[in-house]
Amino acid sequence: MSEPNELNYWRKFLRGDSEALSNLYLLFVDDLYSYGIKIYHDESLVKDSIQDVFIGLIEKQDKLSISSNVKAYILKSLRNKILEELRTQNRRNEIKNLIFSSEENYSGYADTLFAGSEEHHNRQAILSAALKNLSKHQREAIFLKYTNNCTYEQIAEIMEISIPSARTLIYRSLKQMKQFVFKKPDK
Amino acid sequence: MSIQIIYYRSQNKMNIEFESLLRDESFVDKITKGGAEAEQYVKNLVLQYPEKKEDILFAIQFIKSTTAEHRRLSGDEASEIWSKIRDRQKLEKITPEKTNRKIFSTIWKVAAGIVILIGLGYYFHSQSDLRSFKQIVESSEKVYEEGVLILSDGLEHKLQKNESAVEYDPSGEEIFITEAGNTEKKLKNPANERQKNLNQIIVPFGRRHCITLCDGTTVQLNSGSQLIFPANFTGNNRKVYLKGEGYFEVAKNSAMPFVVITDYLDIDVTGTIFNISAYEDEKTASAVLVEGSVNVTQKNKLFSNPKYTLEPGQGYFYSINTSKATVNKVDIINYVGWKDGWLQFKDQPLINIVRRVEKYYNKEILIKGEELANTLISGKLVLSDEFDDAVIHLAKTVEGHLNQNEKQIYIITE
Repeated sequence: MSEPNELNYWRKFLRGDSEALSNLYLLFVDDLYSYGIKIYHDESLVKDSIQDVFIGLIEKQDKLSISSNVKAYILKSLRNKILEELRTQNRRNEIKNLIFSSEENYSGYADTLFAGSEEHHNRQAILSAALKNLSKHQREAIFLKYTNNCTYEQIAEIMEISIPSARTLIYRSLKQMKQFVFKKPDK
Repeated sequence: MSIQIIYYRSQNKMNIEFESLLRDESFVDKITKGGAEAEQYVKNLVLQYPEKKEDILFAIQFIKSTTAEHRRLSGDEASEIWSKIRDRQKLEKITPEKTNRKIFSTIWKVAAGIVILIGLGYYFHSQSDLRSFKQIVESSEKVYEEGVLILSDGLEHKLQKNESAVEYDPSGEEIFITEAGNTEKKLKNPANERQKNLNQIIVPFGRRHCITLCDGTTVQLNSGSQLIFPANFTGNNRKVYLKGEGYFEVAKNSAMPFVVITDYLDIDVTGTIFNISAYEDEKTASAVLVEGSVNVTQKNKLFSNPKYTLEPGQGYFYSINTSKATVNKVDIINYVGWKDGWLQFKDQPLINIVRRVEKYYNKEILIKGEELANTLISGKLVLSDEFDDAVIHLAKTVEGHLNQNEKQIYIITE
């Protein structure tokens, strides 16, 4: 999580230190996998794409610049790799349908905090529905912010929008969820 | 600490809407971390804003479900992807060379492959050890006022006096507790679970305890420490997990090396005396060797986990921020005096000593003025049972004055 660490590794890697790449890999592999699976639910395709992202880094090692946003750069590369892969496999129409599609349920988690009660289950169902009610774009932003712990700056870079737009996107999504969650039942 | 935050919050009005809670980074952090502290925090928040209960509960559930979406690849899966990346990297470097080198390059690739697998094997193996110990640490976030020994059946036994000693017999079945030098208490470890389950001893702040493991190894544990260990050692080595600080006198057994696992370093030995400090909230993890020989391994690296063999009188200092380690010759007395109930310092700045005292009692002390903070001090500080006595003594040593601020925190001034 600590910013200086990833920048450190990144600088070392650019200077030709190959061990630094393994550190970057360890730092980001779970983020990449979680994100990839959300973009397209195919484990082996996601794993291959992660592999390609890092091979891409090795190939371009001497052409890369010192970016201050390593995490955003790597996550964005994965996004592009998966889309590219789907394109070459001629699954164009799947792209439209599957990126952050509403199929997933934010369903199960085990936690001691109020878990297991009926209210807990009801709340979970309402939250799932509220998330489904969002646009793909909004869901992606929420995922990056809360699941992958990205900053607004990183979200902006990954989704190719401005930083204020990233903030607004998150804020609007939360507001919209709130309205959904607390809407008065129909008469 | 948590209570201070709550008070602070309640004075500054908080915006308790679903969307504003979720945009409050410190709220999100707290809930993500979870544990008893978060639970207490939430309870207080709901008590304080009963009309906003649903907003609060929905926000929490939102955080919990989104973070649960973060998946973890298993060690095997992660290392499989990595070995493919590594293979390709080697390939990149070899292809520009001419075809008559082909045979050599193939051999080189195979050899590299083996080295990588061994390297990864160690890394993921050692991480999985750490993970299984960590599960126990995380499952017990309780804060203890008194020392506690937890046996294979999960039952807790209090250690009522400071410096109580715990001793396991060679079979790990019987345990003797010596309190205040004489009262002997005998405990029995449940027989059938003895092999599998781990025991642990938790030392609260302001206390020290000593434990003798079934192999005869003794560990003196400093204030705010935790040691997890099997009642009975089986297999190829003797593995224990340490959080905090411990002074180890390891019983010799070259057939079964003794391994101390901490979050950042592994220390393996056959028979020797050394001190390890691995507090969670400190920036440095260290191992200082008194006698014998130990190997220290950094564990955050995927390849070539750097291993260093320490000589007596040397200290290994690992910086958690930079992942860098240095080895220095040290004055052992500065590092191990705590086990005898005093801290000895030789030309140490006051601020370092204050840090040690703060750590020992888990209390805060302030120093007014940089000059005073950097004053070099040599001498001995007795760690009494009372925090106040220690601070008064410390202030006297530097010929300073002692005040308390409105929060009852001690301030040392010139």
